[in-house]
Amino acid sequence: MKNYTLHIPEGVRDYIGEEASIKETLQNQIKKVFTGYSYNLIETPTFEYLDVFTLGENSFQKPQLYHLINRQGEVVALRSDMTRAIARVASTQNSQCPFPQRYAYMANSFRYPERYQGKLHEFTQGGIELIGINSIEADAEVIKVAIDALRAVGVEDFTIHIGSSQFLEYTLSDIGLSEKSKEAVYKAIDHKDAVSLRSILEAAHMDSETLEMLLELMQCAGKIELLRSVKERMSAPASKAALTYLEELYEVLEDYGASQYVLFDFSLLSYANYYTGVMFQIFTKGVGSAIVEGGRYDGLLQMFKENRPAVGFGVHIHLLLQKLLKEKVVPSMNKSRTLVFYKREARQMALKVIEGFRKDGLVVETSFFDTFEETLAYGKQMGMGGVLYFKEDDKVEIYNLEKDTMQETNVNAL
Amino acid sequence: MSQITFALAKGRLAKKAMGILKEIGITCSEMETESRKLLFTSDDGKFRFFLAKASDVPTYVDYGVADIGIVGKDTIVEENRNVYEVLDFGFGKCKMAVAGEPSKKELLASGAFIRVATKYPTIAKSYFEKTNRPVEIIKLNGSVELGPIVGLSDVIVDIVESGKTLEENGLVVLEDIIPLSARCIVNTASMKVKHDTIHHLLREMEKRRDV
Repeated sequence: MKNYTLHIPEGVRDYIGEEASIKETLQNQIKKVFTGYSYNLIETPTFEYLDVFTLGENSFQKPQLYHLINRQGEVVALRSDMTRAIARVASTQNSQCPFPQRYAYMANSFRYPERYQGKLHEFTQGGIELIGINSIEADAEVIKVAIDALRAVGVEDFTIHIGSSQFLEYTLSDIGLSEKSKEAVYKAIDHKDAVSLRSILEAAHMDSETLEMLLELMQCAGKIELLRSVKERMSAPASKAALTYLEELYEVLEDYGASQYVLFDFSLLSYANYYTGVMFQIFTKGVGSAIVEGGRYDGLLQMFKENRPAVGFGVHIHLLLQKLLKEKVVPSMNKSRTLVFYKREARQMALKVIEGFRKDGLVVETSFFDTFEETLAYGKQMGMGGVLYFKEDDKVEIYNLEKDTMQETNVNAL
Repeated sequence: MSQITFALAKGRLAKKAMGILKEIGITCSEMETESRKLLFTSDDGKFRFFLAKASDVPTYVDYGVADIGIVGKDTIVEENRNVYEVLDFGFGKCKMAVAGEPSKKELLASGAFIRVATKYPTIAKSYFEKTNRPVEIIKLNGSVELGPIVGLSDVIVDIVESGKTLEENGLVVLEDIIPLSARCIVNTASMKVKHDTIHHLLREMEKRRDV
C-alpha cells in the first residue's frame, strides 16, 4: 500500500530553505512596488461560494475548480483567481466607498489544470486591480506597475505584448463574418489552432485583400511602427479607433520612460475572450509561458450587479522564482550567518554579545552541540560564514570559514 | 541571435521534416550519420534538433524546452497541450476514424452502449461525447485491430491511412472523425520572444508544404 504520509498530492509542492526565502523576498519587493502606487493590500477567503467563480460562465459545471460541499450543504470552491474575489468585494462591502479603488494582492489560487497536465494546481500570484475607471492613463499605470514589479526583482530582459480585444472584434464584424463563423474563429483562437483559423477565414468569402491582411496579421507582432502601418491599412473606423487607443497608450508609456519594453501584438491567436479592451502579456527568455497576464475586463463587475470598469494583472510568482533561481547566482544565505558556541562558564557573556549582534541586524545561530568540534563541522557543512567560540572568561575564538582563518580575541574587542 | 530548438516526432515524419528544412538551407550533417546522440546541432550552429516519441513532442514544446515541434495532428489533439498550432505541412495525410466489422454499422447508429478499443482515449471519448453516445473506452497500446477480432471491443478508433490493415482483418471504416496530417507547433512564449526568427522560418516552410 502507498504510504500516504511520505507523499504529497499531484499539483502542490513545498518551498524549502533558500527557495522559500527567495520567494518571500521577491514577493515583498513586488508588494512594495504595488503599495508605492497606492494600491491597497487585500486578503480574501481561501474558499468561498462556488458561484463567485462561475458567475457568467455558460455552465455551473467547472471542472477546473477545487470544490467541496460544506456542512450546511452549500457548494464552496477554493479561490480560482483573485480577480473575481476582488470584484465581489468592490461590488458589495466597498460599493459605497469612493472610486476608483486600487487593490493589490499576493495570494495562492487553486485550479485543476484543464490542459496543463503536470503543472501546479496551487500557485501564487501577485497582482493589482484598478476598479471604477476606464481611461488610457489608467491602463498605462497598470502596465507600468507590472514593468516596475519585474524590474524590482532584477528582471530586465522581457517584452510586454500589448493588444486590444476590440480590434479583433471590430475587424471581424467589419468584414461581415457570420455569427457562426465568428464563433468558430474564437473557438480556434481558444485552441491556439492557426491551421483551422486560416481555413475558416478562407471559407468566409471575403475579398482577397482583406484576407491577405488578416492572414498576415495572424502572426504579427512589432514595435510602434507596425501599429502605425496596420492602422494606415485598416479601413473600418472602429478598428482604427482601437488602434489609435493603443497609440495613445504608447505615448503615455513613453512619458513613463517604459516604452522600450513594448511590442504590439496582432497575432490573432493571442486573444482571450474575457478581456474587453487592452490586453497584455509579459514574456521573458527562459520561461515557456507568459509570466504576467492582464488587461481590461469591463464586463466582470456587472455580473455582481455593479456596472464598473476594471483593469488589472497578475504575476506568476513560481515562474519568476524559477527564472531567478536558474539565472541569478543567488548568494547562499548561510554565508552571512554566524554560528555561536559557548562553554557553560561563558554563557552569560555570550548571550549578551549575540543579543547585541541580532539588534544590529546580524543573523546569529546558537549551537546546541555538546562539543566545539561538532559545532565547527556542522558550520562547515552548512556553509556558514563564521563561528564564534566563547571559551572562558572573556576569551573568544573567531573562525572565518570562508577564508579558513582563526584569530583569538577579547570579548570587549567584538 | 538565440538558438531555436526543434522537437521532431521520430520516424517518417522527422525524415520528411528534415528534408524540408534542408530545402530552406538548414542542414544537419550530424543527424545523417546515424549515431547514438540524442541532441543535434545544425551545421551553422543556429538550430538544435532532437528526436522524441511522437506523443512527447507537444509536452517538450509546451514546457518550452523545444521552441518548435513537428508532429501529427492526432498527437496534438490527443495530448491537448497549450501550444500554438501554426502550420499544416500537408504530408503524412490520413484520418482518424471509427472502424469495425461491417455488421457493426447498425449498432453504432442505434445509440446503444458500445465498447471502443483505441490508442487515442481522449479523441475517442470526446468524439462519442459530442455525438451523445454512451461508450466504454478501452485503452490499448498497439495492434488495435485485434480488439474487434478477438471480441474485446465492438469497434476501434484509430488512424486509417490506406485502409489495407483494416481490410486484411475484415474491418471497414464506419465513421470519419477528423482528417490528419503533419503539423508545426510552437511554444507560446517562443512565438513572442523569438518572433522574428520563428516567423521567418514558418514562412519559408509554408512555401514548401504539400498542398
